[in-house]
Amino acid sequence: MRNTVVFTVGTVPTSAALGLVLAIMLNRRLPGRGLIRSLYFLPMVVSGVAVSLVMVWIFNDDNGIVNAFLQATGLPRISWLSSPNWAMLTIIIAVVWGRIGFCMVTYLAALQGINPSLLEAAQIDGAGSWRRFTNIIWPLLNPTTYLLIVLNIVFSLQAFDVIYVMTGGGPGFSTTVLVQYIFRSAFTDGKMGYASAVGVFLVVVLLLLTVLRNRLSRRSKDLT
Amino acid sequence: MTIQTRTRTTTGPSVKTGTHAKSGQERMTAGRWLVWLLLVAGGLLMFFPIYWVFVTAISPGGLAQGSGFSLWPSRIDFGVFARAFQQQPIGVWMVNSVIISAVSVLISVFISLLAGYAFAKYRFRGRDVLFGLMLLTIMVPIQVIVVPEFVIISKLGLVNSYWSVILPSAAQGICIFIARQFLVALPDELIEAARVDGASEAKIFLRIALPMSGPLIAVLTILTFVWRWNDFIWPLVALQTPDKFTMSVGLNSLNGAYAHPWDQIMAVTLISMIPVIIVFLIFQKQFVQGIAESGLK
Repeated sequence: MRNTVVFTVGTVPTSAALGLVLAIMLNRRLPGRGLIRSLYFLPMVVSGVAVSLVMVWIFNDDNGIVNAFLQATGLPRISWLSSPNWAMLTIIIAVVWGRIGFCMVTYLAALQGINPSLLEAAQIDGAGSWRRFTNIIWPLLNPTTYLLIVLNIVFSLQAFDVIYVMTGGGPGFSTTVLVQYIFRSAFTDGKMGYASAVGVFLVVVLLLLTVLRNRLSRRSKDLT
Repeated sequence: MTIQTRTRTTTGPSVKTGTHAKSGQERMTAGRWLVWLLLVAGGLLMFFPIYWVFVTAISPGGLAQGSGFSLWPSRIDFGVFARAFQQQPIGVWMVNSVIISAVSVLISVFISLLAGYAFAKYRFRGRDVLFGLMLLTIMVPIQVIVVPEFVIISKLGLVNSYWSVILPSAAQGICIFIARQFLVALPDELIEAARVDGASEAKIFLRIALPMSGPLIAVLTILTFVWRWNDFIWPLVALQTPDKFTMSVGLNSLNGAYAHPWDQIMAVTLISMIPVIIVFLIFQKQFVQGIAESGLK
């Protein structure tokens, strides 16, 4: 359970924040903009299993590129996946990698919905770009931000593929999140009833989040 | 990682800059260039794992980084794909995945269109309750219903068959939802007019609703295809012998206790990614739109 919280806290704000920064940077004319956007979005269509295998290889203790790079720059090698302390971070990186594109696209859609005359008016009134962001863009993006955070929490609570393939919940129980735990209880330990009970708990949490999400998406529709 | 990308920015995007810089109407100020460089660097960092799959696959021994740090293969060997096909039943997995995805897409689009049309254009008792219940199914994660679903499938005697994977995903709440949202926007007047002219309900659907649903069918097909292709947990449970595995499950089985050479694993990974990447590149617009509208991936 604690792992679930760490995992959720590690993935949700990170991917949302990175998505926002990217969306703002991309929301203007730039050479090769379409191509850049595709680059960020591409990981999303790749299956969880493929993502995990690539990440397992990149973060491989002995032969992975990351450790080779660390060594080449004189830093100590890190046992990314085999030490309980680092494994969670590695998984968070892998998941965030796959999720940035989603947050970016959602924010981009919202940014393009902002009426440009508002920004022009502010500019004429002498507001700098930072003022324009904090006073106009950010408040207008609020519904999107809430929506994204709730959605991301739901995704994180349901995350399975990446953890299952990359660490199988280990080393020890260091990366076992709730869903992983359900699967392990049901199919490895054979405790189907217990697993279902944990499952019901998860569903209740998710349902609460869904109600919240529906409220928010209704509100965001009212605003636009 | 940062240094890798920085060195690669100097070579990577040069193909694009020359032609596109001119077409941008606004002048490129220093700040703009900085933003652009950051974006390109980040983009390359995002793309790196996919690049790495490719490079690992084509270099003999999987470009192990045990001895030193290098980004390029010293020797290139495309034979790995042939070897992977020989040693692993990839062809079979590929066929399984294609069959399962294709049939799932067909059934799912068919059901979603009909159900979405009914929810959108007909009034019947309990419609809103039914619709609510259907929305509820979207939220229940697959992991939670894996156990009861497995019991049902085994009672039906379908374990380890294509149908065990196809049937549970045949009617997707989310697809029906997307279909309904689209079809609600069809003008009622058209349907009324056809009804006045004496067209049967089936004819109205086929002649009026269906021809106007092109974009909807595209979005549904693409999303369902990518989802089914990437499905993992349910096929993992339902399919038990390697000759029935889908690409994802097969890929996972390589990551087992056996020490498979990394170049082969990466070759298989690459092969498994190609169909969805192609679909994504062709239908990028619809894909992004579908995701932005449904709020789901």
